[in-house]
Amino acid sequence: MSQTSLRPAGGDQSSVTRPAPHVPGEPGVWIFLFGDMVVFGVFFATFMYQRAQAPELFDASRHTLNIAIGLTNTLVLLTSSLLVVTAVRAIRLSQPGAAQLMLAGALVCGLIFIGFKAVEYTAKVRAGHIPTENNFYLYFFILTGLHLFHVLIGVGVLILLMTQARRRNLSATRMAVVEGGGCFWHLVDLLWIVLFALLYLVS
Amino acid sequence: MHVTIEKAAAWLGVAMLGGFLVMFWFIAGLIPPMSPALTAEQTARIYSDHGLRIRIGLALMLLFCWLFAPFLALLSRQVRRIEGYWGVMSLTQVMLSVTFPFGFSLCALFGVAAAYRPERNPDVTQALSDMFWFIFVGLVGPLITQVIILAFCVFIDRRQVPSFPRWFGYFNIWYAVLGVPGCAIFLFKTGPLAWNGMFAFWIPLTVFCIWMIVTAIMLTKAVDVEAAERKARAAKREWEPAA
Amino acid sequence: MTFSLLRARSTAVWLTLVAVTLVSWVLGAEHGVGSTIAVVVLVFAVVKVRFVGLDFMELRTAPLILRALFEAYCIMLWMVLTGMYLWL
Repeated sequence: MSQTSLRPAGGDQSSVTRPAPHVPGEPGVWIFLFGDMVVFGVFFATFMYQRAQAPELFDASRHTLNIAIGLTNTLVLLTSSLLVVTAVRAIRLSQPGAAQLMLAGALVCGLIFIGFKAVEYTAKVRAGHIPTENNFYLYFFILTGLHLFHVLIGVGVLILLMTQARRRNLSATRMAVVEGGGCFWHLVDLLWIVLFALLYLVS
Repeated sequence: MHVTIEKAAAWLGVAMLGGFLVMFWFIAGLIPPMSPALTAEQTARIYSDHGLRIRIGLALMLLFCWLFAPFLALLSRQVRRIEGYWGVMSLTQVMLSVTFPFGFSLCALFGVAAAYRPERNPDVTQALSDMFWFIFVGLVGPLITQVIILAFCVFIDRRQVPSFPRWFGYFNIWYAVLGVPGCAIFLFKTGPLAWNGMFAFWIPLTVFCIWMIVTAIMLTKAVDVEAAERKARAAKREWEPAA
Repeated sequence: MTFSLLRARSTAVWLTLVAVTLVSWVLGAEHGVGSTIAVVVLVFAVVKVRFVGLDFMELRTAPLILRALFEAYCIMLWMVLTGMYLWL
């Protein structure tokens, strides 16, 4: 099982100096995270396979996407991940105020992402691009929809983390839950990085 | 005696998984699934050409699918052990377990009905065939709810020697998330979310098989934990908890 | 107090990720089918994934087995996606 995180002495802010390898979260979390990554890997490969069947169609459809929204969403999620990892460090250093502030910020980022997604979906549908239009749009809506489902779960996880951040000294299990929850949010970010590249740039 | 029956129940579940694959895949040939985009005539042709295989495979399923029940009963008992009494979660497990064999038998009934009279109107055959696929692939709610409750129980188990290790809880969440896309088949006739698609059929099927095997193993271990606790209690001459 | 928390490796990684994202966008927004630019964009994407895993998920300081699995995933992802892009 994971070790209790040690608070670095002397205010050393870097999270890299640890006396021994430390499992972020707990081993069980990684079954879920790796499992999700592998399955999404299969989804990515399926998309690339479909793309190979009709490269011009995919490229043409890709150009109808609003790349500004895609880019903004990527930056929003990256920022939210930074806030989450900093918040986890704040919790380790027993700074609940800073931690809660950061987590609230990450939550806002998550909501912004959802908002932009809603705007993007509505705009696409109004312009006549629906999932049944062609294979590109089918996969676009399905992949981003599945990802959005993860974002919604992630928002719930962030709220859970905020309740834990109120405490000053967390037990090993609680800290593991916090780290695991943080890792889930980073997973959401990680998957979007690949999705942005595949859907908006590479197609 | 308890332990032998309970472990047998767990492995019976795995045996039934194998049976299900044999019956639906090798005998009936319904896996890989036919396409939802086929016309009524094409669908009726499949059911008349392969009618005998389909009817035999599904008839066997109708007879045997109830053998999933002991596995699910064991699962409910382990949840009850964690909960401490026949509470909300354990009873929900029991209730949802009742629907599990129906997921297989109900769809099989529609499947044999579709194959029963090849000379009928193809539209009727297609409608019955659609019902088969809807129930087989699209009815994901009961099992997903079951595993989410199971995951929740694994996490809240605060006893000294828990029935299940924590990673099993995360495993169940993974399964639940991957099983969800099956509910989208009602909206698509082609693509990965149709009933023959990658996301709605193949991934949930694979994940279901993995889940049954892993859960059977974990249940066997939980039975051992329970037996050890029973022995320890007997040695200390404590009362056993009520059923 | 908050700002001193941010003076850490993770912030530097974030800046790198933002920069790589912008470069990918500039490069990848306009390109034809089957171009080398797409391969570069894929490389950048996997590099970003690796940074998120190692520095945000803190796999850099995790037991070897976890880190190895993650690095293997990154390599496989890159190989499969690039291979499918170029040769399918």
